[in-house]
Amino acid sequence: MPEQAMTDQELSKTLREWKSTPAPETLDDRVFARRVPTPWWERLPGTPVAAFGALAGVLIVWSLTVLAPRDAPKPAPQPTPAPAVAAPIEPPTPITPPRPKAVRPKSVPTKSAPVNPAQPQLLMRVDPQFPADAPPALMSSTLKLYIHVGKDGHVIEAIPIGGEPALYAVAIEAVRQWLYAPEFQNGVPVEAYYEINVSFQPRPAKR
Amino acid sequence: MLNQTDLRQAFDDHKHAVYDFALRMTGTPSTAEDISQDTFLELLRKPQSFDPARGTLRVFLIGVARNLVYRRWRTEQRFIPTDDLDDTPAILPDPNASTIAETIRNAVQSLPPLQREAVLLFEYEGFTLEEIAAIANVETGTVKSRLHRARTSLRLALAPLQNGVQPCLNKL
Repeated sequence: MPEQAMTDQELSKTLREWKSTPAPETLDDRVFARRVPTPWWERLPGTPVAAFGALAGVLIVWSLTVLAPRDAPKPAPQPTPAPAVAAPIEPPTPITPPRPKAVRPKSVPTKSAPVNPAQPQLLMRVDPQFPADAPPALMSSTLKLYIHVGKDGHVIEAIPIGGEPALYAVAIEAVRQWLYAPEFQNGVPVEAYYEINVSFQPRPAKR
Repeated sequence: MLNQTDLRQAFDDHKHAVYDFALRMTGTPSTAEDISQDTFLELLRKPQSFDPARGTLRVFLIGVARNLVYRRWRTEQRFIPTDDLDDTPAILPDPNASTIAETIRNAVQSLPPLQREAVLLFEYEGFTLEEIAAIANVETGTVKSRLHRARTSLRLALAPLQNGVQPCLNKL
């Protein structure tokens, strides 16, 4: 008996037994991860006015924190509303001549090497030897140093930025022998910059 | 001109159709994903190439995907475009197919590419003859001819299914 050939409708019905396959989710990433990135100003939230305000705020904060010199005199305080009760007038303090400040060396890389605000972990310390010719009044003084710590924790450079200049040399000599725990970023040791205080403690008298 | 929102919407609306067409044409998921990616990247890079006056966005995207499939085959030297009216060998039922879907897939993918695309676009993607003609850049009569020849081949290859023969029995 001759077989009856499939009609177009029967063939279509049979073909649909082969179901469609949805696109994989990875296709989204493959398409949109490679598109031209949206400009940053289009990614700011809100209206263009709000975006401009946010940008202006960022610029103001940046200019105050980065561009302002550290040794610049503080601006005069803004007038505040008078309190309900008048504060008592303090007696005038005697004017003393300003103490000469330590001059910051020009080699301090303030912008390219941001100082880590956290204090490093000191592993080994060598006490600075107080100079014999220094005034005994400086025995308890403190110096502020800017240090550059290498990947291995050794101090590569130490630059005094505050304190008694007569003690700079011995402080640098001692700090250069200190050993810190190196700083890590993403599991990799990196060089770091810190500001530390070095105190000269009076030694107890020998019996 | 399409904006970013339109592009995202176009992707969400048509990604399955584009991928499904590319997968049925090539038979390889990784190749289909590559084709689909390049199709939408083409729209992302040159959205002005889509002209709504010449057809829907779906027609445009499937047309891009089709051209990319052929371009890839030409690169791989797997397919040299020839007149699809040439005599083609008859497609025999696949004795190794284990499911009905696999039997159909093997039969469709054994068709010459130009006939295969006509079947895929008409039967699975639901395009009209005129839309297929626009996608393939041929006359409607040519599409009709390709479709007729493809159906004739498929009827022969899928006849066992009509007679109730389960593909898995062929392995016994």
